[in-house]
Amino acid sequence: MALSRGLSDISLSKLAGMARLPICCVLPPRLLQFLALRGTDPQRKRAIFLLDLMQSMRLTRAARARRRVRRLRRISAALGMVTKNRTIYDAKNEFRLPGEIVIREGDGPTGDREADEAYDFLGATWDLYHEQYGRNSLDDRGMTLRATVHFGAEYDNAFWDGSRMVFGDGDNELFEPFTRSIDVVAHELTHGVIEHDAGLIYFGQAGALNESIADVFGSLVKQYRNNETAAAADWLIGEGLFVPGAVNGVALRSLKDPGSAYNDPVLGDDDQPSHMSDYKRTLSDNGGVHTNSGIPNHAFYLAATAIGGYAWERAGLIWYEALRDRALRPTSGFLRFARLTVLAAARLYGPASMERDAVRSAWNDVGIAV
Amino acid sequence: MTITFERSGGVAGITLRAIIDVDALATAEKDELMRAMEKANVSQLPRRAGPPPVGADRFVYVLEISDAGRVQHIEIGEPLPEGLRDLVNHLVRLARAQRRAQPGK
Repeated sequence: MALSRGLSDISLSKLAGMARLPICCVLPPRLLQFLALRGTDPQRKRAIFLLDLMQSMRLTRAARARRRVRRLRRISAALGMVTKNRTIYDAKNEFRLPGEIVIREGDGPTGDREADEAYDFLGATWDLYHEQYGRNSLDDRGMTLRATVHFGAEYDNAFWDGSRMVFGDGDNELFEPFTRSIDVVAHELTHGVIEHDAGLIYFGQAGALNESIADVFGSLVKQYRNNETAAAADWLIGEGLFVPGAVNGVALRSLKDPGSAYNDPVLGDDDQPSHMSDYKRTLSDNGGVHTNSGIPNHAFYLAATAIGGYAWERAGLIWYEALRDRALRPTSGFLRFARLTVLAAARLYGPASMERDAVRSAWNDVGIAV
Repeated sequence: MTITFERSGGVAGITLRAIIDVDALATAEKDELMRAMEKANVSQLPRRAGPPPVGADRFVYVLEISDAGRVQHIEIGEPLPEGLRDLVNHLVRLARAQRRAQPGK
């Protein structure tokens, strides 16, 4: 092979010299990886040594940066500089936004169940992101969380409009008000986080990844609030949204068992796949964003349960780091994200860690080879 | 006139579909629908109406109107333009009624 012939020209002494210089990191890692796989025995040994060295330097740098950020967060929190800021609006069943302000930060319960739920669950979401990942609101710059409740008439939906969460009251037939479910509220807020970080487009596979990340952190907010381990959690999205007795189903989606959340003669069947072999090609729903999200959803469930303990601690942190990775582009799909989670796991817990293996196997098990 | 209606998207990701035979509707229902279609100026609508998609979990509506051999295809995003809201909400109501009447279809 031409490339391997070219590589053999690089003398070992040159590589060894590079190892002692900071410039060694300029040597393309791909070249080293190639050498490590295809080189002669001494070349492979040297390349593996250099790759290890580069990895540990990266790890040290990343760890130092994270410590610095955490220290700054503690200081600003102690000074009262980082505080939750929530405002809840009431659209009074009109289709107009934003509506009238009904709760400001620090106000007590209003007695309006949907407004109080929105306020409470917005707070729970802010808490997970801040306490576990050091994030200061959706934009990481302390923006006010704004939500409108009682939006529209017979409106069976909740959405993120690019600057606020909006919740309908359901359809008086199958759906309860969409503030009922803490994970649905956290799901909408996470769309705001995603928009500020990776900016994943809302179509096709990037859109399904966007949806999945919203479900993952939606479920994590619920688990964090309930103090549940990965093994104890129900991994459902939208539990409590169906009017009791009206629908044959438990929730909108299941990360544990995609495709099993409901099976109803009126509403239809949950058709989420849990493996790439069942990936659905469709133009509806922006290219099946709420369908194919089942695949990365299940990968997260598998990784979190294999790692064990509280899912937000390690699996959640790995997913969060991958979401914030600059290499995640607006058009990135499952494979790119999967690779970034494996890299994040190696960075956080070591290249030979149980966590990295668990993440890698989880993606392999849903048909994404990383 | 037949209207094939689809509402997809939304946080629930549950698609609502119906084929509405307008001529078979009760007179009052039909009159209300025709008024909403006139108000929406349907025949002049472009293939894609409403704003470009912003945010997440919004509904997407697709209408296919077949009348006297002509087929018009319209895709509408949210927030619904003021003039289209009555028509879309009316179709949602008809589609829900059909879903209730014909479970499993």
